[in-house]
Amino acid sequence: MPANRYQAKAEVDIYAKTLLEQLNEKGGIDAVLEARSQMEQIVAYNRSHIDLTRAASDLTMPPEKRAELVRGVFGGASPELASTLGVMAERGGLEILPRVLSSFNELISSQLGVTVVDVVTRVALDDHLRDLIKNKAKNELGGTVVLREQIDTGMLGGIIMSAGSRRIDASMNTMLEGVRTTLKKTS
Amino acid sequence: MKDKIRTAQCGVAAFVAAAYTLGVPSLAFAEEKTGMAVILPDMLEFIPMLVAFIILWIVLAKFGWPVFDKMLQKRSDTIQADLQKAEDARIEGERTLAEYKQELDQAKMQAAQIIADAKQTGEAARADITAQAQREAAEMIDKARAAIETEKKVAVSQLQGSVADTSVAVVSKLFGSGLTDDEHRALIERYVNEAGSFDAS
Amino acid sequence: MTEITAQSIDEALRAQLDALDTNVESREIGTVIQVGDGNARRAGLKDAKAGELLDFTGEGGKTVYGLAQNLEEDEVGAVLLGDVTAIKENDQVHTTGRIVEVPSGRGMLGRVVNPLGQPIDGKGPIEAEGYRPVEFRAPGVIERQPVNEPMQTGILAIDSMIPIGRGQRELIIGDRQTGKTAIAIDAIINQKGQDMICIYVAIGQKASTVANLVETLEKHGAMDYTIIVSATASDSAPLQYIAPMAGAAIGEYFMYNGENGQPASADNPGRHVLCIYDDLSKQVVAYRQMSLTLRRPPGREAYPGDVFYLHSRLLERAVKMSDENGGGSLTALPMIETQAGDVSAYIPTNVISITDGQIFLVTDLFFQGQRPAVDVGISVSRVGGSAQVKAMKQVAGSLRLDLASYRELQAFTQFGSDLDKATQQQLARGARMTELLKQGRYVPMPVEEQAIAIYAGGHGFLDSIEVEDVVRFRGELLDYLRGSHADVLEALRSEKKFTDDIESRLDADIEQFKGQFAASEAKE
Repeated sequence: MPANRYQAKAEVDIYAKTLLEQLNEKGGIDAVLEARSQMEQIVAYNRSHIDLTRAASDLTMPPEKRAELVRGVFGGASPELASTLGVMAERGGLEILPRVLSSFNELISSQLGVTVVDVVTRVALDDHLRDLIKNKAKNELGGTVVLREQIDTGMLGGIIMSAGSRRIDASMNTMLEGVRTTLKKTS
Repeated sequence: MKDKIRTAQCGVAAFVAAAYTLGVPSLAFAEEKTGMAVILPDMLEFIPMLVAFIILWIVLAKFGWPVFDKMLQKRSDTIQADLQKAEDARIEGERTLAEYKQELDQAKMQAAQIIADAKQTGEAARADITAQAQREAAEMIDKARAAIETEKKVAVSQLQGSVADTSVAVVSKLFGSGLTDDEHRALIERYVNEAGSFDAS
Repeated sequence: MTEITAQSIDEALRAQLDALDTNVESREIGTVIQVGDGNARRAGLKDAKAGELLDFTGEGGKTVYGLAQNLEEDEVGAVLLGDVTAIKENDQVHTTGRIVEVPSGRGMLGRVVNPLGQPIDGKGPIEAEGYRPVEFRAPGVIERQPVNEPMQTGILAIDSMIPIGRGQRELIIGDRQTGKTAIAIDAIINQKGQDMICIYVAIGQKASTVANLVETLEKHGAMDYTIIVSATASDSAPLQYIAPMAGAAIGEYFMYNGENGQPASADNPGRHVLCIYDDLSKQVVAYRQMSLTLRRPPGREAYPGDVFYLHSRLLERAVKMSDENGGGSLTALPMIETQAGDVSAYIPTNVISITDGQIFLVTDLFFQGQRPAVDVGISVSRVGGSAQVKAMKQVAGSLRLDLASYRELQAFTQFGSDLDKATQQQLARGARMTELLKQGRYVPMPVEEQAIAIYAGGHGFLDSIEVEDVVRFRGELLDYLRGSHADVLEALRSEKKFTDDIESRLDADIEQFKGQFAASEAKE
């Protein structure tokens, strides 16, 4: 990674932009969102498992070998993402992946005009609820709202909605935790 | 030195006079007397005796008497001084005695005062100690009350905590399986409507 | 009285439920990237402010608070104030929009709390009257007034020659085991009935030491007006780092608010607070650890560049408020432990230059039996003199002179030359004066008794007493005066200075006592 942070930022932007354009051309918004969620998983995994990141930036290995290793590991991901990761590994390492992801997120809203709202619920949403959430997000954030639904049966109920770095946690678990804390306070 | 010489001269003169006097009786006993003549002074003896006596008297009066007189005078002076000293000592003694008596009185008074003071101080101290003890006792009682109060509060808060835990657990159980999907969706709808804005900062 | 009934609990729960706010607001969230060494780095949280309180949600919904420290381009470095092990990578963090605050109020008196104001003495929850920010900008020039009231420590050597005023910052500095804490404890004990609130901040000490201290204070009835803030050696570095600031914040509550809890003003006087930081060397070590693990560049002795600012902003919070602002005060007694008497190390020089004077404690004096081992030659108080009681000022001047000439002559006498009478007399006086300053632990002396003791020494009443008897003489003289001549003490207490009348009465009384004293000595 270059020492100059403007150069570093430019490099990150190039990765993000190339990836976005390729995905968008090939599969449209669905492919973009698919790659985004895969990238999120990879970033979260890498945070608690250092081995892969370390191997990908191991200078004793030739660059081609590193790229090959990373492509092999992420073969299951979308081919564009896998090849981007391969290039990253070849050119230095995967440390910049979190920054690429955040740049990628920014590009989704700025280039495609799409606002992604992640929704986690216990039961599947119906169309009525989808419209409701979409309208709410559209009014407050603007842009085309795309919902990414996720079902978590560990939840008691309620809903968690996140857009960008903001989150509305209206899940039953959090609410009950709040109730419990309040009740335990002695007046 | 002069005295010594004078004493020596005096001694020589006395010796000459004595020798002369002793030399005369040998004449007196030369012829026996009878009758009145025995008791009458023999002029031949008497005159030299008188002369010797007078010389002796003069010599003694001149040289012996002053010495004797001085001695007497000295003795009388000493006696006088001793008497005076004794008198002074007596007066001093009386004065000291009076002083001691006064001091004793003072000491007695002081002792009485000290005892009175001590009594007073003791009294005050007792009052103090009593008051302090009472205060401390009151404080201890207060503290104990406060401690009991705190204990109770702790107990209440623990109880409250466990009640809260239990009720939350019950609610969780009910929610988890007790609601149908539609009910869940209705709940979600309500929450979404009630929720704050994404944009709020 | 609280009754433990089902109804009371029911009521309490209902009251809490009524207050429950079910509204859900959107919050800025971030993710923990890395945890370790008591701090965490996390991505996101672009809105976080430096020093802001962060809420980490760990496994099982456990909440741990953190303090935002390093704000970088795409991550934020934070320190954790609590159970570090509960937080893992990928846990969520959100900002609270608050800075760290501690509760304060009368309910904390007699309690032992951690630097977050939570009780750790098992005596149940504390009812807070209010909250104060841990980091608080010290009041400016207009809100202050010069130090003008004395803060009596009850220690003869200090109150006479190194007087401390309310609102002053007086450093207590010395090697380990020279009696630094003892001075602080004596000062706390002496505040009984002085309408003073004491806060003792224990930083990086053994928990057993703190427990002992609490017991000592309780025994002397000093816990009733004392709050102990304890960050023991086993607490995390960030807790030790904020402990003195938390202590100051708890104290500030009393100073800025009157008895009725309203902000202090001309007719709602603020209270007087004594804050003891024992000791700042440990705090700064904790701060160094914190800074190094936050990857801040190390400076001299590996301390970060802002240690001077750290201490100056803490000690600047010691203040004597103007009368319009209630006239409250916060007196700070920071402590610094030196290594082998080296006061020219980084931290000691820093703190010496910030404070209004220092009390030097010296190992040699301590082992010579001169306790408290205050080196009166190099100890100073830059502002306390104006707060000193007049009577003390009258006698302390001569004491200082006597001791100064004694020290000077003492150096000469080492050559063993013959001494003239005047020199011998000065030496004898000095030896007695030095002896006079000895004092046991936990026996603070009221200021008028201190003044009389020094008066007796300064006016030559001790010259005929053996040096070994001086301390006994002092004690018995004061007993005698208290017992039989309390009027002199009373007069001195009310006049606050030595008038001709008091002096002549005192001379007579001391002379009288001296007669008794000699007698009692002969009897033995």
